[in-house]
Amino acid sequence: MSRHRIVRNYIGVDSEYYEDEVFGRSVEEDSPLSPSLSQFIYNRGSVPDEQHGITRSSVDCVQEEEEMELPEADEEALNTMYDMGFEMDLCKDALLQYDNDVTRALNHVIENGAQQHVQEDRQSQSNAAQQGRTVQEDQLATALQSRLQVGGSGDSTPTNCLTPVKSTTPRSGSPPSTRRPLRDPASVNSTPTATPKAKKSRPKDIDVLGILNSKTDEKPLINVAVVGHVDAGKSTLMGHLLCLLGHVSKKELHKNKTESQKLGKGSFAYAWVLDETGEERERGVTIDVAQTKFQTSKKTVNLLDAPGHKDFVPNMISGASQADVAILVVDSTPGGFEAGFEQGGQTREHVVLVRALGVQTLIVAVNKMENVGWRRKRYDHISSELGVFLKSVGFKNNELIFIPVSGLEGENLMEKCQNPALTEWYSGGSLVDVIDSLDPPKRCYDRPFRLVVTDVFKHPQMGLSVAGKVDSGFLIVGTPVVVMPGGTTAMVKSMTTVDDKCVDYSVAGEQCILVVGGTDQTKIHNGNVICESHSRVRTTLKFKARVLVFNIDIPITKGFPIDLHYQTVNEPAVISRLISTHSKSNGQVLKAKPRCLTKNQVALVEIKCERAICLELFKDSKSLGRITCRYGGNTIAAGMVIEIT
Amino acid sequence: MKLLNKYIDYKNGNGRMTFIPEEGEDLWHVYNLIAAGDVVRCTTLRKVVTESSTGSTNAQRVKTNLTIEVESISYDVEAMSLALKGRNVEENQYVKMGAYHTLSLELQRKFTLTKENWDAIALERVEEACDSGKTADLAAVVLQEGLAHVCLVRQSMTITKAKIELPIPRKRRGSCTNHDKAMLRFFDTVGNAMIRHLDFSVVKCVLVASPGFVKDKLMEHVLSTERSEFKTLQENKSIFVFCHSSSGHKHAVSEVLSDPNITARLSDTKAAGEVRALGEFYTMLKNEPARAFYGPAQCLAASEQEAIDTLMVTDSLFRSTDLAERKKYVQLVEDVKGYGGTVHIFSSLHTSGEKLALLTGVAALLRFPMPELEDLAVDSDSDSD
Repeated sequence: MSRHRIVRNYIGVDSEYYEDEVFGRSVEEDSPLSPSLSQFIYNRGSVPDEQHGITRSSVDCVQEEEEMELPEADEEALNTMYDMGFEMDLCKDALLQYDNDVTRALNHVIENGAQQHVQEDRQSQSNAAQQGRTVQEDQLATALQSRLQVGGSGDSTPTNCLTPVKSTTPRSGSPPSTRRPLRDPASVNSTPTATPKAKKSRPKDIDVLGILNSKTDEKPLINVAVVGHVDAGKSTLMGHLLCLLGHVSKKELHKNKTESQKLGKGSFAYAWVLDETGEERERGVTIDVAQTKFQTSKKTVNLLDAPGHKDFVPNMISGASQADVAILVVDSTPGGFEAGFEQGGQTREHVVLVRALGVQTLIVAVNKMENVGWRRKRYDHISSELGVFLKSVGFKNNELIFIPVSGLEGENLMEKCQNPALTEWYSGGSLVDVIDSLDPPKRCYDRPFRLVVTDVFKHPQMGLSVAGKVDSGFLIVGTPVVVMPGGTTAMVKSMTTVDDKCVDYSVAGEQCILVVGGTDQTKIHNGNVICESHSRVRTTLKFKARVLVFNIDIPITKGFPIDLHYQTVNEPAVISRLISTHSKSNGQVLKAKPRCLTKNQVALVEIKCERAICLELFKDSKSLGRITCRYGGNTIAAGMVIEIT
Repeated sequence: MKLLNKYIDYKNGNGRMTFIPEEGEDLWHVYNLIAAGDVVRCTTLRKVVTESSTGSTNAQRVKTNLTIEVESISYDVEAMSLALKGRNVEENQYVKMGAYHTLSLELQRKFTLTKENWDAIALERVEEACDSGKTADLAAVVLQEGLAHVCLVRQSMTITKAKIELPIPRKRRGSCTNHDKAMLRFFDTVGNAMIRHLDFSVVKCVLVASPGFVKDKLMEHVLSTERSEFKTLQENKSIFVFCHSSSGHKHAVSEVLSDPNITARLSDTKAAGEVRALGEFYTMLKNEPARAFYGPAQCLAASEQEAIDTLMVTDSLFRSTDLAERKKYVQLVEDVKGYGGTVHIFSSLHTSGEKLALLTGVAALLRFPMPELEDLAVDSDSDSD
């Protein structure tokens, strides 16, 4: 036990005393690590054994080598180029070639850059083939890794990966980790240590855009929100799908099954995969958005399971606003569909919301088909009724996909349905097939970095962590960031994905968790926007928006108090001015300064908030420029930001 | 508030009254009653510096009765204190005529207010303030995950006693401990805020409102815990009433007060009445837009035709320092009453009053449609902000 205690203490010391240092920069392993070995790896320096000394000296050698080389090239010119994001050795070669003429050397480097990518990809592919893991994933990782190595060591051949990563190779002397579950070899590298090697190669110099351009055959990432009326079976459907995909251990599933049966809610076993809080299990409803990531054969899917209950629409908005695609789950049982679809049901509200939040493609999963005996008549009836409504909301035919499923029985989720009652009339693909067939959305990699905070929490090992979706741009570990609207600065110490894999950078569209230092939990809130200090997001108290008024009971007047929702933000605000109403078809001003807004009008309004919020114009950012207004538990309007004052 | 003495000359409306404010809310009434130019007489403390023949000075705090002509009034909602600044207008052995002094009106201390003109609004205010039977202290706690407002709803004011905002981490795959722990801490904080800010000997009813199950969880937590700190809440278990609100923001209080189940219980409170009146306005605006108008110009025009059935005015308009402005609204109110309309004067300290203040401060339901007023809207709706 005493050795465990040492480890624990060490962790404490680590995170307290080295606050400013950059942790968790991992270097990818070259050779696959056996799981039995992996549990013995913990922390550099946790055991002051001999190997440590060896590592040090080997690194020192590298250092000396580099220092000796430096005088040959003009140091200043080299640094200039280095800072611009090019690899040290490339710069050096180029500089020597062009007699320290920075401009010419730069041109040379840029031209060669493209070639370099190709080379590295080929290299990484062969590496990946050796390892028993998915090609795409590794390709990215190794490409990245070779870059790291090239940046630091004087070695220009990315093939030789063994020497520089010595410091992270497993050390049998390390005590077994008791606190950190090690899932796979990759996560071994994510131990929050800063190896001497990693410190030298600053990940700041990763050419993220280059990597993104080069890995065209990577599985595209897609964010999928699951919406629909309460009890339509959203969580069960998704929980079952996760089970089928092998993301839920048998043990966990068995536990869920027995526990749910104990409560007399056996049918909730699959939903419990996603509904994990005691409250949610007890009440049998999803309260907050659950997030998981899974892979299909063609896509990486980030799943957001939204709550269906009316009271939790704010949570649903926060989930759906991160989505590219939505799955609308409808209950096909007699009465079930009608309850959700009638006035007051959430099917309508959710559909209107996902449309207003910018979701382009909607998959309609007609659920619980086993309850109606997989009858075609019922399916057609629901599809036609929904179809009319969906089209009136603005979805086009090619943006809608209908699919019959059963969440509880798991039919037509992953494999194509074999049930003769269905195959008789249905020939389309399963849910996973449909997801695979979707076009990956376009991402704004080249815009300034924006991450909307969805969660702030203290990770037991890593410390203060901030979760969110990267809205645009990219971020590399070690970059100083600013939390808006507060303006507090923080340092990104390390970065992980939703499924606890350590990464060096994160790009638009991805969900990630940033471990930050130099700030505290009271200064970062849900809905804050994290950006780089040189390109801050705008903050404002007042803005103008063009809104579409929904089907509302009471008219909107000047001074109308609303809850303003966008992304994860939920702020009280007031409609301070009604500027004009517009024609729906051509946007012409119908009336300036209207007295009130009634249902289905398009209007330009001014909205005032109590506290400063971060917004962008709709034309600049689709997600930070969309707003939703709610009042008294109903969504009354949605729109886009036209002008920030 | 107690009215001790009243003398008003009904020919020209000038006169004086003597009051003893008894509770914090009375000072709010006084704040609405006193306008710049009024004369107030009250006991006060003043530092008096005397100079002896040798030139040495001696400062002393003396208690004296001073009469000042009010120049400015300041009111602090949270602290419930009222300060009147003005010049001395009555000969006094310590204070020279014309010297500035700031009176602070205190509870249980009598003062005399002399006005040039006691108009209908002022008289009504006096009546309301002195009617002690109407007081029913009501507390409202509106909350959502991570956000709570503890409010005291009184006859003419809703006071936010505490606003609690705590970050609640979300559930994550495989671990909800962070979330659950934060929720318990949040409930503890709300429970403590209730104990600290609500006087359970006065409060007759506490409305606990939230979306979802947060309210049930909160009460379950504070009522079941073994800890002694929530004992007061457990003893007063019976006065808690659950209702639904869509959020934990402050404006959800008016949503709670408009809940039909709740209004039945509180039909006599002013706050609920105001919420109902404003609700009627919005319903009318939806059904017959030509019979519901807001904005001073529209309402004055409608009143000229004796068309106003129900007039809603926020009291902040009567506190206007511009005398002509105040007169205009007083006239409007008197006219409406004159031809048999009803007038609601909203307290700007209630959420519904806040809403009305943002809606230009004056709104009216008409007896008959006046579509011609719609055109008026365009030119008179000039925004100063």
